[in-house]
Amino acid sequence: MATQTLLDPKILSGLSNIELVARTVVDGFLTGMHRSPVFGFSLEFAEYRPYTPGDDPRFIDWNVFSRTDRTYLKRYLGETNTHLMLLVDASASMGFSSHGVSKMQYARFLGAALSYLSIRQHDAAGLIVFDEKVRDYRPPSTRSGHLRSLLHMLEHAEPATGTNLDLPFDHFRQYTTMRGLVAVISDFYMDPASIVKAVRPLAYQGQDIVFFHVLDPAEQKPDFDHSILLEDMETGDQMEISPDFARGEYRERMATHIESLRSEANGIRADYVLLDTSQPLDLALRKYLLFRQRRR
Amino acid sequence: MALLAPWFLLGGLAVGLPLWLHLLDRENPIRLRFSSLMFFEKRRQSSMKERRFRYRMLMALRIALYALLALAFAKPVWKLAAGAGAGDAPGLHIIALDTSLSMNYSDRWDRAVAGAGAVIDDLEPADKAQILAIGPGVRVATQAIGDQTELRAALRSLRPTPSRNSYGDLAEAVRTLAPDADVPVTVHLFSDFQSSAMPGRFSDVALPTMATLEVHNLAEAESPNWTIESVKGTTRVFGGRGARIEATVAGFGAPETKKTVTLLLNGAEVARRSADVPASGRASVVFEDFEPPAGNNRAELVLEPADELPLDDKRLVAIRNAEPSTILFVHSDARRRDLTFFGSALDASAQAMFRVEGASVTQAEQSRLEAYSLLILSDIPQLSQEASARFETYVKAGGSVLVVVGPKATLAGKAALVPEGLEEFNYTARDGQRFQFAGSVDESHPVLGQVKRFQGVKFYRYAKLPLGPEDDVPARLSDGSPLLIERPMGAGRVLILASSLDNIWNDLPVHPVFVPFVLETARYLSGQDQSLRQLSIDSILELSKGRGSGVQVFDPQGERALSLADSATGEDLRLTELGFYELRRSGATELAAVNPDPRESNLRPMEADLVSMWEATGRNDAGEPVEGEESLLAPPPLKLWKLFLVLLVVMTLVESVIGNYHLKIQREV
Repeated sequence: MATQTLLDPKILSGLSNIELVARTVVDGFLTGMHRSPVFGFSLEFAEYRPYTPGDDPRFIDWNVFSRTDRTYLKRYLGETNTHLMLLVDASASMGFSSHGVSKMQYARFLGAALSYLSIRQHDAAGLIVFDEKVRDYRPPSTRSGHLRSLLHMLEHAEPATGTNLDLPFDHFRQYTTMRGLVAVISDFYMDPASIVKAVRPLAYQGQDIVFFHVLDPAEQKPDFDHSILLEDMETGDQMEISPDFARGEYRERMATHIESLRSEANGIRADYVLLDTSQPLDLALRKYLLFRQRRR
Repeated sequence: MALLAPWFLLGGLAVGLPLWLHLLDRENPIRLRFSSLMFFEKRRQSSMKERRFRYRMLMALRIALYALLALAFAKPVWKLAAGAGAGDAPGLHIIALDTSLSMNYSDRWDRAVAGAGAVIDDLEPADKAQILAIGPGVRVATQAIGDQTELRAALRSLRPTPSRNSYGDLAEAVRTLAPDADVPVTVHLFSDFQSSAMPGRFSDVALPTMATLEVHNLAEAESPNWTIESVKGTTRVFGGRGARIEATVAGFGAPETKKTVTLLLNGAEVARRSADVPASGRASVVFEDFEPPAGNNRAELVLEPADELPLDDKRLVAIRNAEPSTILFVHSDARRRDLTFFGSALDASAQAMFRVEGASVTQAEQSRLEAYSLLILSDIPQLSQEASARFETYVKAGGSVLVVVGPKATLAGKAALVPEGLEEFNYTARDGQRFQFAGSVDESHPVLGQVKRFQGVKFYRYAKLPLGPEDDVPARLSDGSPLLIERPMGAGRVLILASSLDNIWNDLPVHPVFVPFVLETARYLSGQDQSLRQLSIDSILELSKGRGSGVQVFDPQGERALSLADSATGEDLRLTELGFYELRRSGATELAAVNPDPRESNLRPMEADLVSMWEATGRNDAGEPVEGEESLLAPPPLKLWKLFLVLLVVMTLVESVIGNYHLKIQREV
């Protein structure tokens, strides 16, 4: 179908206008992709709370007062008062690609889609691009033109150097106090425990954390016909490996790493989504959003 | 450094192969940039620098391998310089003394001994010396020793001999001794450098490069010498006939002079003759019409006055005065043509000491065979059984029989003493120009030496003689058929002639060669060896060819020259003493006169240039020893190629280890 064709990452990678891509991706999805624990004005009644001096009297339920002579405030689910913070990994390893779409490109599409989705829902969206340091930062905002600046930032995020999660999370904690959704888009080539250690303070802060683990199919299941000399894109180290190892023990290690990451994420009540860059982004994102929707 | 096979260095071009392969591989590695090696290693990663180092080391090893291989095949050697004082290095001094007859001349031998003694005196403490005596052959008087007392004792024990010498024998001995010495060798040759001692080829006297020749020439400026060079004449007489001897006197390097030749017979003077010998010329004297006593006589011809070399002033001759030997000629021809021809041939030779007695078969069967020196069966098909047995006994006891095959024998298909019978015979018409000539003739056979290969003799008819396992065929016809067969039978022999002696089956009797054929056949079969009359010293007395075995030989001192065992087997004997040897066999005694080799009497020395050339072998133009690969004046060259081969093996092992390590897949276990 045309929508699925447009959503094919290989095709989208040829489009230079990411905003369009993001909008295209978002169309057809349900809104309400997150729940904010912050109560605010909305159409959906949530609960009653006794009135205390200082509360806004506009929310007093007078019907309940007439019946009970007691003053109670109506509380509604705040679906529009949250924000999205994207942490996008732009280290050198994100530049890897075994087919037409690199992980970095995939991360851009994902980040753009999530940003668009958030801002369209009048939620603030922010962006931190990092590698071994914070390279770029946009605090969450709903102002007009903010999406464009986010997309611009994403478009110019090129993979370089190594990876360090501590710095962007520290930065995020320093500049963001509101609770919201934190989406970390990375290939996570680091120890899962150290990842969670860096993220845990945010979880304690009440942030809703999602790990988007972006991997190339060749990274999950490398298949070489002969011995090959591999060069680490971040460290420059070289190593000759055998096809047997690539087909055997490496895949086991990768699977173990993914499972470990998933487990650690569950331990801090963060979501973990494994994304294969060979799969269409809309399908992967749709799958996740439906899962969140069913879970609320 | 020198290269013995420099062309093999071209193989060094093969170093380009590993160079090219390594560079090729370096330019085109299969590489892939990967997002992370995090899951590919848990230990230390091999750095690019380490890998590159290993790669280059492997390339260098392989290049060195090919280079070493080429170099090893080129066979490099390192010539080590002679150390200081190489001239003072211990050496081996071979003191060779000429002990030939010519060294008896004047005081040559005394001077030789004195000179050799001086060499011994000059030996360094580390030197060794070895004494050789040249003539006859080379006799080793001592091994290489440093004990001067022992050397002098060996020197004193030597004496000049009446024999000849050959410098070729000396060179051969030095070539054998010198390579084992491992030190410089100096050959001190004390000799008169007689030209007759020089072999025909100069290369026969060349010494090995590690040996130098020092010449001690003992020849005088002038050395005149006279000798009785040869004696010929009648040495076997019988029936009152007088003997005749002609002696030739020769002068070598001598002025014209008058000499007297005295004939002694059994020690008693018989006659004297004078000879005017021209300068360096020859003169003959004749002794005739003297009757030697019956039996063996020892004749001596003595030249007077004696000269500086008295050993060659005497010539010995054995003269025998005996009744002629009787030959029993058994014939079947009523006209006795074969007997006539045979007897006439013997009578024609003045040297023949035979009397032929003809007999029929019947007469022969009744004769006492032992009285005859030779039996001839001419065209006899068979004998009676008893007679045949007696004939065989005669032969087996050392006698000899000549069997002549003729028409009667071929008609009967058999001949006496030829048990195999006659297979067939060839018949050709006399006028049909179809005949056989003599094909192969062994002229070394005593019977055939004078027959000139039966040239011109036509054989019209002949029998195909059966051959036994031990038969010898000294003569064949042109179609390959045996003409003459010699068959040993016990201690004796049978000679079988395939064609008759009656001038019918062939025309041999009318050819001049018939006489020497008959004479030599008679002499050979009867054991009358004329060569025993005069022999040269060191010649070989071939007793095995004599008439049967069991010969006893006594030397001029009357001592047995052969052991009893050797006497029984008929071993050959080298005649090493001058004088008369006595040979006793089958009841008969013969004398063999042994004289000096006449070549020793010519004292003419070698040309000075030739001596210089000989001395210069092994030296360069400066007179210094030639440096050669085997020169012992310098240490032997170090054979570097052996070292390279060892290195090659080691490097091959190292390359295998490093290559295996380099190519090993880095596995994470």
